[in-house]
Amino acid sequence: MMFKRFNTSSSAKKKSIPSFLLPLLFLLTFFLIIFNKTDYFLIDKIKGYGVDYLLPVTKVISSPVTTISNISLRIQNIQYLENENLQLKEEIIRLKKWQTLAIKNSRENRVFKKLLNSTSHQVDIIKTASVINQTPGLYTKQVIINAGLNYNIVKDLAVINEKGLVGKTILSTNSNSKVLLINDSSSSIPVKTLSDNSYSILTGSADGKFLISSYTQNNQLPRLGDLLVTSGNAKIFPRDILVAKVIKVNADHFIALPYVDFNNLNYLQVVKSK
Amino acid sequence: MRSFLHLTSFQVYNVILLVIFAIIVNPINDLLILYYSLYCIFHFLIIYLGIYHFRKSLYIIFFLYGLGLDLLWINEIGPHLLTFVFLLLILQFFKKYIISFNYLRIYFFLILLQILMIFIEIFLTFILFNNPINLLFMIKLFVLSLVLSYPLFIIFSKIDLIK
Repeated sequence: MMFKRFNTSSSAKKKSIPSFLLPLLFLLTFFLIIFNKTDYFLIDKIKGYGVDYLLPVTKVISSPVTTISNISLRIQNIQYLENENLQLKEEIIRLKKWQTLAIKNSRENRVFKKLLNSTSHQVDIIKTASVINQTPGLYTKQVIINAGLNYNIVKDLAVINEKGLVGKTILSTNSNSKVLLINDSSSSIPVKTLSDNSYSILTGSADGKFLISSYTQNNQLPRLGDLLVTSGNAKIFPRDILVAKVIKVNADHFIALPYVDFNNLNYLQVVKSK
Repeated sequence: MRSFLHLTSFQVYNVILLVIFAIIVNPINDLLILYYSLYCIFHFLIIYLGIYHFRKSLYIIFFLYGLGLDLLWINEIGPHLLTFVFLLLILQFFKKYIISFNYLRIYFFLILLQILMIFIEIFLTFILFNNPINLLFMIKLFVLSLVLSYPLFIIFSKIDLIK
């Protein structure tokens, strides 16, 4: 028989753990779950230790697998290199035209601002950091960046990249920070439409691909294709950061597609309002 | 070197468990199916250890893995920790009945427990932290659990031969 029957010898073999430890372990389990809901100081410390000490150890252990996976992905990408090269060349030509237009508009904008004597609303970049870990999105959508309290990154700061809003910091340790992505179902982003300034709140969909409106002011739904930017109401996200584009409008809510590609997050900027 | 070569099957399982844990908390987004599979294998191995290699030290091991998965994956403490610790308690309670099972019954018991365990974790995440239940993800895990279980059962039976 190739399968072994129940191994009684191995199960009865060792009794090295004192019996009082088991009830203690169960108590600890319950206390941890209760503290997770009530006490933030202790739990944040434990979460911080997890990110600071546990994650580097697991990174070392999994490094051979990660290296092999990366190599196989690189080989796969080489196959599409020629095609991608052509696409990129076309894109560069297109972007150069846009760049000329952008420079012209930016110059005009500066002149108009001077004429109007208006102040500009800009964001203050606290730190640009790289992503060191990303959850697979089975339960929550989070990333860990390699900058923390050592760069004055605290909880509840907005995180962006070149495409738009990425998320907000939810935990900061000395050298790392955890960022909750905007496509997580527990996130809540106050936005406004660029066309008519109607306000709404977005949350992530269950699969993390879209953003769904959980509240719209005066039930004023946006139009298809409207651009959504941060409204600045929550005091976490600075105003006018690009978030998503409306792709479906239903009777009582709408669905938007985020601008950020959450599968390709490399460098992120932690920002706050000036 | 000598001690490495003379690992017992229980120690081999613990090495496998540690490696799988390390891989699933450091995923590459382009290979998600691999991580889903490893997530299923991790659960299968946890139950397998609980059934075939039960000892009290497993409570501490499961506690640490449960806490680790919760901290690094969900950023909250609860679903995995609670499921892992209670799984062992349930297995300890039902051990006298499981002993009398033949291998096929144990296999079905194992696969049933694994699927149930994953669903309970997802459900607990929903209850405790209001995370929505992703049906597609559940179906993927269900299918992967079914597909992977039998080969895993055979491989683990071979590892059990290590003394």
